[in-house]
Amino acid sequence: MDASRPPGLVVEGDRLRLEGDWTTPTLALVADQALALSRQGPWRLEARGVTRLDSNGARLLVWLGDDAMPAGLDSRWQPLLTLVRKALHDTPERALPRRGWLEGFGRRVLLSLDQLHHLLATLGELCLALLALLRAPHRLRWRETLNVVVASGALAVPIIALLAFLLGGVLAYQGGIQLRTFGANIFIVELVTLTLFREFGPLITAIIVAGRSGAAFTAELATMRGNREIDALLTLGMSPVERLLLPKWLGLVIAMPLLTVLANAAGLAGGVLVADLMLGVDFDTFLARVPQVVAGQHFWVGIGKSVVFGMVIALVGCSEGMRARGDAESIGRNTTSSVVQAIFWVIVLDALFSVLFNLMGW
Amino acid sequence: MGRRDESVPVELAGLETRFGALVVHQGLDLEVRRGEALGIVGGSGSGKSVLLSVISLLKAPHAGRLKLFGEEVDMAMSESRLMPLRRRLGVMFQQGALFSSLTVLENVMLPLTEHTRLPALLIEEFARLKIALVGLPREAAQRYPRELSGGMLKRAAVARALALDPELLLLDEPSAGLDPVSAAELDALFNTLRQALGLTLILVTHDLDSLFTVTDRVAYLGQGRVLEVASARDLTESHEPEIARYFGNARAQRFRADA
Repeated sequence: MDASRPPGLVVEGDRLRLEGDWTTPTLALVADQALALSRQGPWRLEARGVTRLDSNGARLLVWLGDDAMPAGLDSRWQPLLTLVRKALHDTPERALPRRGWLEGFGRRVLLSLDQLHHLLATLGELCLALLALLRAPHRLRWRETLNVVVASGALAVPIIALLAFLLGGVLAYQGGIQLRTFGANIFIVELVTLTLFREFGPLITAIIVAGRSGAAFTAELATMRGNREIDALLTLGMSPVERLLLPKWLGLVIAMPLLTVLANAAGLAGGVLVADLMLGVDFDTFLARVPQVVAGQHFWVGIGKSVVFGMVIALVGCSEGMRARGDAESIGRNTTSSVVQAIFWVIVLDALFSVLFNLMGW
Repeated sequence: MGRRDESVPVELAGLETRFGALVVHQGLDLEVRRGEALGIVGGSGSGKSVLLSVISLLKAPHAGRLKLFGEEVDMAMSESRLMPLRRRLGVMFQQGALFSSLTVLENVMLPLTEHTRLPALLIEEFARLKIALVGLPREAAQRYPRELSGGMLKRAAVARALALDPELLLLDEPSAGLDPVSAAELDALFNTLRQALGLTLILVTHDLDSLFTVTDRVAYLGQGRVLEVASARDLTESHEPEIARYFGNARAQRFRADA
């Protein structure tokens, strides 16, 4: 590599003498000086000393100089300067639109409405597809559905079992501290079993599934949209709702209650362990007491809720995926939105269920 | 920076690349002259795009020598030595590969912000110049890539590749997916830029029009190596059976399209 000559600027009366390499890597050396001088310009340029010029360098020359070709500029660089001048002339100065806070706020509101609209539209389409399926059950994509059950259900077993086990243990531990002060150790059975079966089992399962599978549904569908695979399905006369959305929805509706049973069992195991170690309530006593104090309805309430949670998570995941535009940023944003919305709806519905079951005396 | 040096931009000798057991290139030799426009053609799977990846320092060859701007390159070299070389070449990817979360202007500004210590004002001006040079309307600067048509996307990709004023521009199927008018305009743009900026061009293309209007020489890739390098006109009249078949088909297609 030959040595580069740093660019230089010298003021000579009403002229500017330029020297050295006016190329991108070295332009930073004269940039500030050139910007300051340009305010006093336009200058008559004297470019005999310019050894190299690239398009960024030429841009600076145009900025500094008048309309004439700089004196003494090597004929090799003249076409470049001419091209740069022409390009700048053809595209005049710009106006940057600024976005006010009010517009930003309005856009957020519209976005939320759009999300809700999409959610309801997807729900409607799923219901229609479900009705069509009832009329023609052989059209069920059972293979895809089972794949979802495996991917969202079977593969989530270890993480859900572990977290539910820990949750059951923590529940027993925190409750146990209170119960011990009253000498009411045996009530740990009611505390752990009821809260776990009715609330925490379905809830922890829903949160993990929303983060695992809801996000995966969104990312998958959004990518397919980006590749125009959804459009391709439509042109081939196939319904994306029936082929893609319904299997995910049904798969999650099957997987969620199964996972919740697992979470209940694992949580119970954690609770039993802590009860034994901390409160002296041994395994046999604990497990013998469960059916005495916990009526079947508590278990079924939790399972019922988990089915609804599964529906909501799959619905949100699919809706956000189909709403995505398919570029990298929108895939990320919609996946995030899918998880946040799914958990939001799960907790809102959970609160509604509490009120409802209370009124019904379950 | 040896920008004016007369070094050979790209020199490949005995290049071998493979993906697992699949051998893509074997014993490939190629020399690209300073200031020329070299076309690369070949059938599907002949390794044209892989060759571009090797030259743009994205894929390490298995064996053979690669010299860029007279400097021996080994992908095992530290990033601090590879990066200055990468900065001297620009790549336009087939699908544009513009960053979808950035506007066109931000796409073009990104390399300038990253690699120079110029004032922000100048960086924006330089980026706007590049956008103007490739013939995009000024409103395009504020658009996101998804809001551009195919032809505009390619132009924006060229603008970004030119941001740092590279000496060597690599183009991967620039006219693919474009209508004939846009493709011809893009070819004219390459010729203008090449003359004014003194660029060396390497373009992979299937487009016979591009081969004839843009390139000085064309290298035909086949059987893992360069079968022949000649002007587009001479290559179409080559007696090498594979090359003759390639151009025979391509020409036939062209005539069918004309009819």
